[in-house]
Formats: sequence, C-alpha cells, structure tokens
Amino acid sequence: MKISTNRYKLISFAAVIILLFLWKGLALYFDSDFILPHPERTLVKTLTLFGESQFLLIVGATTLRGVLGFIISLLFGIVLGIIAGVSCDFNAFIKPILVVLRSTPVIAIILLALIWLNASSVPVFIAILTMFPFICTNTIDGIRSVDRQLVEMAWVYKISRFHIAKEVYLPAIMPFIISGASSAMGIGWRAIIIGEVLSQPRYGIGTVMQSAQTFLNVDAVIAWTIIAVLLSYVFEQIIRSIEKRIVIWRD
Amino acid sequence: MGLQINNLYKSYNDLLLFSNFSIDFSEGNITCILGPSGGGKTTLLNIIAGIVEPDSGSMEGFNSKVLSYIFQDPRLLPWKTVRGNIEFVLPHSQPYSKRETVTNSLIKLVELDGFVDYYPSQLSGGMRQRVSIARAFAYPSDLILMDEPLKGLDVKLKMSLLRSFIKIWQGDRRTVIFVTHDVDEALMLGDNIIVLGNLPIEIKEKVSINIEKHKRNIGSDYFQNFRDELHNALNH
Amino acid sequence: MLMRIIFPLLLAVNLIFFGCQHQPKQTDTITIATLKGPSAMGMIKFIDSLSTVSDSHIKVEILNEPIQIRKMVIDGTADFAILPTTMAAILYNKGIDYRLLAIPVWGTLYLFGNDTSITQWEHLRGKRINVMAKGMTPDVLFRYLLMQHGLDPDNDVTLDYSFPTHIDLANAVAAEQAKLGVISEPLVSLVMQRNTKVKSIFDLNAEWNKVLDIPIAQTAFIVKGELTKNSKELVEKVMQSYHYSTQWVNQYPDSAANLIVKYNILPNNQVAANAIPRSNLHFVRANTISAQIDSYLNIFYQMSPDIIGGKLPDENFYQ
Repeated sequence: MKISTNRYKLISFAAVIILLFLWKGLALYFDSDFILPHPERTLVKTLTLFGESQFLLIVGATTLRGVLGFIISLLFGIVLGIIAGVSCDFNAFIKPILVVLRSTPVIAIILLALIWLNASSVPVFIAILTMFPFICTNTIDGIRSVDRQLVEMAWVYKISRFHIAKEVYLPAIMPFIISGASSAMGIGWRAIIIGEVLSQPRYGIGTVMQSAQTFLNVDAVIAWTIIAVLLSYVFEQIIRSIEKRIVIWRD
Repeated sequence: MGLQINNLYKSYNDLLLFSNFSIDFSEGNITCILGPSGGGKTTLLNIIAGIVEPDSGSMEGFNSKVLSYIFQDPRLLPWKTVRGNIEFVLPHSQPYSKRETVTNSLIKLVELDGFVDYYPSQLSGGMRQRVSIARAFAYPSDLILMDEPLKGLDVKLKMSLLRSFIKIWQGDRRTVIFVTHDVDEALMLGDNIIVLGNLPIEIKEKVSINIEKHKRNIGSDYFQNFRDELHNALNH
Repeated sequence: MLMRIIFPLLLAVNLIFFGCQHQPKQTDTITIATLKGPSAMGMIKFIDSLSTVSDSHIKVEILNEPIQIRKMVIDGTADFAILPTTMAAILYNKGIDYRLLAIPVWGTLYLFGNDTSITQWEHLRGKRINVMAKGMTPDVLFRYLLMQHGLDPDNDVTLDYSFPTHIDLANAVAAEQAKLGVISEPLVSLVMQRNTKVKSIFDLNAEWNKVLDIPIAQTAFIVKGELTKNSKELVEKVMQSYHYSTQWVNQYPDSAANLIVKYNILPNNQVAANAIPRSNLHFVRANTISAQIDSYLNIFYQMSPDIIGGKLPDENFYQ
C-alpha cells in the first residue's frame, strides 16, 4: 500500500514538472511577454507579491468574502435542503429554482448583481448564488439517502424525534453536505474573483488582476492567478480534512 | 390475561393475508411462530410493533408493553460504535454511569468484549447481529420481537448466536415472539411453537416444549417426534 | 478559443521569421484604428475622402472601446491607432513598438449627472461617482483633480466601476441609475440631449487648467514603429490628411455634422454640432510638443508609475 501511494505521488509530481517545461518551451517559442511570460519570471513575481504592502489586505478581503458567502450558502442550503428532503411539496417548489441557478452562466448573474448591489457585496452575492444550489441539492440527496429501516428501528425503540434527527438523519446527510461543500468551494472562489474583476471593490484579488490587465502587467495577472489557485486549494484541503474526521466510520 | 390478537383482518393490495385471525401468546415465555418463508409472519410482527396498521381487529395486553425488535438485518447505525449503538436506545434521562454498566454487561454476554469501539463496517455479519441482540436486551422492554434474525447465517454461527441468546434470556425472562421458517431453531428456542400456513393465514398446529432450553438435545429421538410433527404441519 | 492560440502563434511565426525582412508594399492595406468619439469626429473628412476613392489601400476601422484598439496594436493588425495617451505610453514601455505621431484630441472629459446640488468640489464628499474603468485616463485624471481639491479618492468619495464601458456608463447616467459620471464628449452631449435633467457639472479640462499649466494631451495618434523607418512618405501623407480633416471639421461644423451622422458616429446633427466645439479637436505633432506631453504623463507617473507603464517613455517615443 505504501509503495503505491508514493508511486502515485511521484507521477503527479512528474506531471507538474513536465507542465513547467512545456510552459518554458512555449514561452521561448512565442518570445513575447504578452502572449506567455516565462515561468521563472512569473514565479519570482508571485513571490514578490507576498511581500507587497497590501498583500494581506487584498487576499484577506477576498478570503473574507469567500468565507462569508460560503457560510451563508451553507446555512441556507442545509436548512432549505432539509425542508425539501422531508417535504415533497417544497421539493417540487424549489427544484426549478435550483435548476435555473445551476445552469445560469455566472456572468449573467454578475451583470445583474452589478446593477443591484455595491461593489464589495457583488462578489459575495455571486458566491452565494453559485454555491447554494450545490449544497442544497446535496442536502436533499442526503435526506433521501437516509435508510428508512434505520428510522423504523429508532421509531420502534421509541427514540424521540429530536434524537432521530440528531443521531440518524444528521450523520447520514453529513457526507453529502461535505461533498456539496467541496464542489461549492471550487466554483465559489472562481465566481468571487470574476465578481471582483467586474465590480472592482477597493481590496480584492480580482480587483488587482483587472488593474494589472489595464496596466499590461501580464506577469502580475498570472501571478495573482496562481495566488487565487492556492487560495482555492487551501480551502479545499480544509474541507477534505474535515471530511476525513467526520466520516471515519466509513470503510 | 396474556397477550391476545383477536379477529385480525389485513390485506395487502388484493392479497388477503389475515381473515378473522386470532392468536395468543403466553407471557414470560418464548413463543415461536413457524411458517414458510414470506408467508406474512413479518406482517404479524409489524402489526404487533405498530409499524403496520391492521384493517380491523383487536389486540389485548399489548398497550402496556414496551417492546424491542430484533430485525432480520442488524440495522445498526454505521456511524456509531458497538457501544454507541447499544447506548443509543437507552433513555437519556438515565445517568451515564448506569447506561454504561448496562451496555458493558450486555457486551460481555454476547461476547463482544474486545470490539466495544469498533464500527459496524469493521464487524462480521454475525457480530453485527449480536450487537442487535444486545441492543434489544439493553432496552428496558417487556416484549422482544424477533424476525428471522438467523436467516442466511451458517450453521455454526447460528448455533453460537442461539446459545448467546439463550444465555441472556435465562437471566432475564422477557416475553419473546420469535418468527422463523427453520424447524430446528424453533425446537431450540420455543416454549410454545405455533405453525402458521395457508392464505389467509391460519394456525395449523400448536406445540409446547417443557424442557429447559440449555438442556435440549434436538438431535435426540424425542425431538425427532416434534420435528416430524412440525414438518407435517408446515407442508400440508 | 483555438483561434486565440493559433492567431498569436501565426503572428509570432510571422514576426520571428519574416519581421526583419519585411518590405512594405504600397499595395498592402494600411489599417487605421480609431475610437468612435472625438477621434473619429476629427478624422471624419479623411474617412469620407477615403470612401470616395475606389481602390484605396487605407482602411479605417472605428471601434467602441480603447481596449479593442489596444488589442489591435498588440497583435499588429492596426498600423495606425488612436487611443488614450496613457495607454500609448504603457504599450511603448512594455516593448510594443508604436510611436507617437500627434495629439489630435485634447481634454474632453466632464463630470456630469442629475445631481444639481454640486457646485463645488467639496460637495462631492461622500458621493458616489461612476467612472468607466480603473486605471484608465478618466479615472486617473479625475482622481488627480479630486486630490488637488483635498479629497481622498479612496476614502472621501465612492468611485464606482460597475459600468465598464463608455456606452454602459452613458446609458446608466441617462437612465439616472448613476447620479454622477465621468465621461468624454460626445457622449456628454448625447446623454444631455436624451435626458434634459442631466447637466454638465464640471468641465474637467477647464478644472485641470485652473490647477496646471500643462494641457491635457488626452488622446494619442500612434503608428507602428517600422513604418516610421520604411514608409516615411505614407506616414507623412496620413498625418497631413488627418491634420487637414481636423481643421476642416472645426471650420465647417455643420457639414462635418452631416458626415458624422452619415458614418454613424452620432445619431443626429444637433448633437454632433453641439459636440464638435466641446471636443477640443486640434491636431498637433508630437515632436513639437514632446516636453508638454512628457509633463502630462509625468503627472500620472507621480501618482503611480504603473499608470503609464512603469517609466516615462524615452525620446524615441515622440516621432
């Protein structure tokens, strides 16, 4: 087992190296900073960004928006998801809303949000609208997945409704919620940054990306992109580790 | 007074399962309901448990009874350990130390001492069923319902579970209604064996065995008579 | 998606292998990219004369947004281009070899809107003002003026970039969705014609001149560097045509208005006639005023070097 995981890690690592070489090769071929800057310069630029005075403010602002959006999505998603899972009427009611939200292109939502909200709220609003359907849908699936036989057993043993909810339903839907949260995270960060690019709040990764674009600092654009990717990755890992701790009973 | 079901009517879709069916159970004993697989015996148990509503009929003596149910499948909560699953049914009003004592003693009785903190996914089928038995006894019930709990298990495992069950029951003689299609199981556990059959269901045979369970040698000639009698009743 | 990779790839191949030996042929089409606004207005006589020549090898493309023109400069499809001077400086500093020929349009920016309570800069405190795009000329120019009047652009006012194009911003002000906006002629006249409640609040050109001695060299006329070496005659011809056109427009505004409407720059003669005098159209060669342009750029350089691309352009910029 141990040998296998090491082997896979090695292969993944090799893939990254190959991509870097490919990048360098293309950069040499195009020989233009506007089409493709060289990887070393970009990586150096990324590191210098960390030292920039407002780095924490910028990344902090984006992170805050993301976390806020996520928490709100989580609350609404779980509550509405539970109601929809339990009540078939409510499920029928909410289904078209979820479908529309899931299929609407993010940019359309952004353009509408720009008209309704102020610059700092637009990204949060976008994040909520893109993340909420995932969490809600997964919660509904989770409720549906609850083993009726277990509920029956608990009922026969006269377990109170509260405890049935807490000990039978909640642990059953947890993996679904976490899976939904994980998917939501991935798409949420992207939505937030696009939102920031267009609404230009004072501090934000999207904001500085757009400025870099205006000033034709292509390496800064890529460098901030790398930072955005890292941010998304960090949070996904956080969710993964929470998942591992909650779902240890799975084989 | 005892436990009685009188004039029970129940149909599923167009199938008339019970028509003016009556049966009684003696308390403090194990009553075994013997019948062919899928013959509606589970429905009878579920009516007693309140999971299924009869079309009409009356039940006497059941209202005051608290009951445990050992299902065909273990029905353990996958996210709770062995200990957790047993404690799950104990009243939360009881102090934790009391609940712990009850759980520990039952775990010992079903011989799962070393597996207290294991999750169901880490246990074998037989071990899971043992937890189900322990849970049923941990619950302060007056009546235990068992629906073919040994179905599909191999002979050795069956014997070991039956022994565990008998051992626990000796120390705590609750009324048990035990449904099975297996004659040997009935012979090992039943004080009263009621054979059901046909459609609508009717009682075909009633047998009582007065020997202490741990003294029964079901391979002997004495029991062969019972066995023949029961097989006869089942097959005609 | 594929085109975006293939086109630069082909272009790169072209540049790398053929760039050095490229001989400009007179039969090649020359493309002039201009903005749909004062730049095109000043050129309108030139544009019209080109359309009467059947076999003209000069093509004029009129684009809505500076970003579109910037793209044509980056990939080389535009031989001549008219775009904001700050943008021209950034491109030159980033190594895109386009040189500055002239300034054809000077200050045309206005703060306008339906908020009539504003008569002094101090009244802007706490207000929300919509600007087209962060870092572009209207934004940095307005910020400069705010600072000159003791207002911190980030804290004392709210600058809102929700409407990222000229047209979106103009529509928003016309619909009174945005109460205050910074925008250029001729959109100012256009919006005011559409909605009479919208008024011009500050003429930013005038405000700038109150504070500084340097004129606003707002828009730049640039040309591909190699054309200044290999096609001097052509470049001179184009410059003269543009120069003449600008003079003609100022001299005969009514006729010019007709052409402006004919080529769809503006929808009606009235607004065109209003806009021409306010559009500050004067074609001045860059090499005669390089010091002034340099001072203009320096204002922004002091605010933040990034605005003009990190440094002041060297003398080769000015042709």
